[in-house]
Amino acid sequence: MNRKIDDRGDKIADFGAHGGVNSQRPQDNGHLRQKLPPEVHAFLGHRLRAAYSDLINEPVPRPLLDLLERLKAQEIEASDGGTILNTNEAKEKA
Amino acid sequence: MSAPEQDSLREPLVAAVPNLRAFAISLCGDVDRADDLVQETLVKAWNKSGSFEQGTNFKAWLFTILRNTYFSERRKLRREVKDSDGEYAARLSVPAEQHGHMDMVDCKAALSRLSDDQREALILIGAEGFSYEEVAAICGCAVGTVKSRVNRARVRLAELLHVENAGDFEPEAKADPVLVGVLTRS
Repeated sequence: MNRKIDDRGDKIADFGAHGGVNSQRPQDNGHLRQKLPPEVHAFLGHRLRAAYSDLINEPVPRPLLDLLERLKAQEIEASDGGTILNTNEAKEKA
Repeated sequence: MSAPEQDSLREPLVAAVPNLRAFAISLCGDVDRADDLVQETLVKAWNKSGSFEQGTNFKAWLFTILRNTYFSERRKLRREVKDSDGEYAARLSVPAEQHGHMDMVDCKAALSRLSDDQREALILIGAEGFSYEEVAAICGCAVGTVKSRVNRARVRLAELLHVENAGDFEPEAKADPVLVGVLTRS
């Protein structure tokens, strides 16, 4: 896929600047940002946050609530937690 | 690990669950897998709570664990099934209708068509409100890479939603029922 290749290109291009304070190269971002007028930028932001808040507002499913309850009750101490993690790892291997 | 360390984590852990879950769903496009992912993240975070550096962003730390868990499983799965990127992505692209009401479909469908890198960068910056530096740490890449991905994602999203130019849509909220809902909700 082209996008994948593009992203690899990003990484390669960024290696030189990685970690430096001057790594921001504003001209690269400016070049892309120019394509989007501020109204479009704002519109996308609203849509994105609206769509995402829809996900955030979904009720937390029972198994996760149960796990949290167990955490709250401190049923998962270091040793027990290890057991649970091992169970998950076993599940991954299955 | 000492109980006090975990004690101090419990509340922020609970508070982060809806966000972790939303991010997990947007990462893997599958609610059941997302819930498993959040569950594994919570257990790992709980067990590794000693490795959290006080004073750093706890939510970013959790997101890093979730993301690493997702990608290590995905790499393993991909090796096992020798799947190509495209086929895998297609299978993961759950119809947006599964979540929320129809107003959201366009934006969610468009998001699902972004590359994984672009989508996660855009969501972490634009929806979760992390800083570029935090996202760079979460994703294990350079800050410049994050900026580039977010910008590409925005341009692509605008194309997919047909709003590349200011004249392509009405700037009024009435053009966007979602926005109307958000703005008028009291």
